Amino acid sequence: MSEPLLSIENLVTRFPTKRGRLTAVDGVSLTLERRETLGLVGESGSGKSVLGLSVMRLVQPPGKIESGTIRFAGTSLLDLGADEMRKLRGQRLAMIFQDPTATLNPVLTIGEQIGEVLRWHLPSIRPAELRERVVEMLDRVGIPNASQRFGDYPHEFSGGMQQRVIIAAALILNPALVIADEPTTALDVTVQAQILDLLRRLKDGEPETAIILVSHDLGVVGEMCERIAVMYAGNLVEVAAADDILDDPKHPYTVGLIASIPRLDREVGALNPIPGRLADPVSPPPGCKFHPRCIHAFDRCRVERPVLKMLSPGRQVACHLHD
Amino acid sequence: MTDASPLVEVNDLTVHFAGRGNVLGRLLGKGPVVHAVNGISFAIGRQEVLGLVGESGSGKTTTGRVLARLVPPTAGRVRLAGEDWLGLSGSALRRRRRDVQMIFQNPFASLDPKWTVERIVAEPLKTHERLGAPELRRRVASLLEGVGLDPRLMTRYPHQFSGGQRQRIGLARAMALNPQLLIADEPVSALDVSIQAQILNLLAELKSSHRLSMLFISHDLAVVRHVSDRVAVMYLGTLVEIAETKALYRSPRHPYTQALLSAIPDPARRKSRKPIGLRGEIPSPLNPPSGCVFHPRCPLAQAVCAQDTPKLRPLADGQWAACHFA
Amino acid sequence: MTTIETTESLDPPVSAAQRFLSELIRSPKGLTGFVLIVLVLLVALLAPLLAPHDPAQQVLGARFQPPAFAEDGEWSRVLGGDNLGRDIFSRVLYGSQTSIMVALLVVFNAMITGSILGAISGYFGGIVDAAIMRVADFQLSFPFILVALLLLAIVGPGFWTMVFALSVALWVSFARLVRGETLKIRELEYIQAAKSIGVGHAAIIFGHVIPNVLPTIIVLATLDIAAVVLYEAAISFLGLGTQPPTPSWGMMISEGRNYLYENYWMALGPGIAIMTTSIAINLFGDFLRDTYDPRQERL
Repeated sequence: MSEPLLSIENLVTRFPTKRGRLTAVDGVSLTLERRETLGLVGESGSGKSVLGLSVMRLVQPPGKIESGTIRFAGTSLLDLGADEMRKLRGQRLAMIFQDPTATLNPVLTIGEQIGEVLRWHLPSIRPAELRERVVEMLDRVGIPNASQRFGDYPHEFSGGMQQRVIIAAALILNPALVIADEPTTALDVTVQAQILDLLRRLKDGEPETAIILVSHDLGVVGEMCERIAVMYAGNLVEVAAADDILDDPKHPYTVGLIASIPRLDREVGALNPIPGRLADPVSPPPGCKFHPRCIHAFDRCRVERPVLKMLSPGRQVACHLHD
Repeated sequence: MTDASPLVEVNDLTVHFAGRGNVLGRLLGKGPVVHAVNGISFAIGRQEVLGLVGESGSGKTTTGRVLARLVPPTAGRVRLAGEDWLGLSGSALRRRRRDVQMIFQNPFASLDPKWTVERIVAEPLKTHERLGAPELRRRVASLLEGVGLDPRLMTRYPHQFSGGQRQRIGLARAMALNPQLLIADEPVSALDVSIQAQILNLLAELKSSHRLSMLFISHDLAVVRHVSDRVAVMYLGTLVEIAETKALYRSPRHPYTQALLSAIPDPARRKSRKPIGLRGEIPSPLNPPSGCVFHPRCPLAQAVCAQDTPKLRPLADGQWAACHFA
Repeated sequence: MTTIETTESLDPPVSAAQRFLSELIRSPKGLTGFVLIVLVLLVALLAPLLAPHDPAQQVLGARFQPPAFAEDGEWSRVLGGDNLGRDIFSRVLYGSQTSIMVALLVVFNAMITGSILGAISGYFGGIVDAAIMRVADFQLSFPFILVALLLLAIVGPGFWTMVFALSVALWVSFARLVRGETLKIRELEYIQAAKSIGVGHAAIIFGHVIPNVLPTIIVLATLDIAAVVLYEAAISFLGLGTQPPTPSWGMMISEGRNYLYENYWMALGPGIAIMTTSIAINLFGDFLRDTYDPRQERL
């Protein structure tokens, strides 16, 4: 049995704030196999973005990873020095962020920006070859007239095109893992569909790459991912195959989340929102963090924090109901 | 006896903004023009929720702002309960403003951070009515209860509330004068899904308890479906389709609506969804295409589409679409 | 009925005063500045009680008397006597009244006028904005002190004319600042909401715009107070401001200028006073800016 590509164990990431220490990732353990597409779903404060940043070791100080391990392709990421980590980023590990306008430097051409990735990791690459590889990548991500657009600036592209450029930069060195943090949230619906389509094609054509798709949108994640992990207030509450999560959710939060999404298919009735507010990451409720909002909560839930346990092969839930 | 005439009638509404060209061009009247809204017409009935859907550049937000009298239109007429709404000005406008209220997308920017919640919700009451302090407080308390907030919170400041709660406060403020029309500009887009549902339910309640008409502006078709009686779809400043909610979602007539609906990733349809891929991206409103604005991306486009702008015409079952081939 | 939200999960409300004090205690520079300012203010208030001598009284025998720590000095005249035998220490104490009064008056005037004009300019835009800003630009093309001096040359020297001249010179900095902030605020949804409610322009400007710009205004005002203390000193130094026998730090330095080599202490007292006041205000102003700068809003 080969080792998983990514193995996170008991990761804890915290931020000091004026109100106290904010625990964004509260002891998360997760594995990802090679070539797998995993969806990481949660609302605000779930910690899903911080988890992605933690894997990339891009957590902004004063936040920091306080404990736990992250193993990637046999290497312990948290033991690497800054330089070694930089060598990995872009080449074996890549990240795509939400807002393309903020990610691209407005004063450099896109050719220069994507080229920068190549030059950094392959310092001896010749300009002609660099250009060729960049143009080829732009073409693959569906930018028309790629060789002409090589010298264009980001503002000359629309939002969707900019996101394609970023995807090109992320994939150009064939990384083994790509973390995409809400890659389509800032885009229009029709453009979102195009980008998701692109990601799907690239994944199929690039069987080596594993993707972690971070999103609040269960629909997006349901279409793209084989497995889904649901996060709430810094903890994983349920991890299972996409179909299982969406058709037969076990954790009350997952159930509630799915019930509160307005649907296009079913008859329109009142939505069933989850009552109350999201747990406060600085001082979360005792016991199960979801218990104040959970219709099934009983005594044990108020005192004991449930642990992620295997319910059946491939299904994990952190809930006393299913213990 | 209920009044059957529509509350709001919009006719040929057009909004063009001056773009940012060079000074000389603008002086000569030849500067770039943003064609935000291009001659749209629709009506909103009494106690009806009209959903206004579109992507960026569709002009839906601008339409909402014109209706709220925050932006002056370039042309067109709007009647509010039979009266010329756009023609009002000065104190007559001030008085009538109580009938049209708005809630905004950004829960963080829609409340003055330096005002207490009490003061925020009382602002419309203070502007339009003469009430003593105790009476004001009573009204504010009841308004807060009406949106599901504990009235004791009225002494607090906006930054002490979550996004969902702030939207409720904004709603309480909007409902203070019992408006006839509520313009909701992407009211749930900035909220988490589980909170979104709470607010949508709240809006549905308010609609029936206050006999409210609503213009619900959103880019999210699934959300709009839950709230609206009828839905209007906009693309690049043009109204391309309008129909009763059920009909629109069951059998959309305009190719853009069809593509839009098919593009939404809905967990329930994930296996059956057949996306209608649209070519290219949304053009800039500075330079809208000739004829039918959708033709460059439309899978059904023919030569006539580039030349003739299709008018919004009635099809079967009360559906209207602006397409030569619908 | 939808869920009624309870108060449990909210922070207990912290009053503005509490926040100010807790921040102040944590900031060494803020605390230092604040304490020194309080000291200066107390001195200004209590000058008549603290001063050992009448500041205007000329004592022939005390002319050029050295300060207490030098030889031939006496503790009855701690900082020595000036060229007319007046007690320098007492004059420094009374001089604080002048400096503080001028600074507060000038900044107050400039703040009110400048802020209102700036808010109007930013809020209405168009012709109004253009007009106000062109006047401001014109004035800004001259150095600050020159504007003040020009006005003084026209209306003649004196305490109140100096206040007037400095106020006129200073309004521009407030106007531009407030205009910039107003432009940003104008587009925010809570302003749009107020408009859609039918709130009048004046109510919006004074109820919504200015309170939100206030922290920035106060920071600028604090820093300007320090600047005005210096300007007053400069103008009085030139003989165009406070007239004798009213003591003024600037004037004292001016008088002491001629005797700097042998009788340095005439300029020493007022010099230290100006320096201390200036530093104190700058430190405190810095602290205010760090704490209240809207760009660093706490989450």
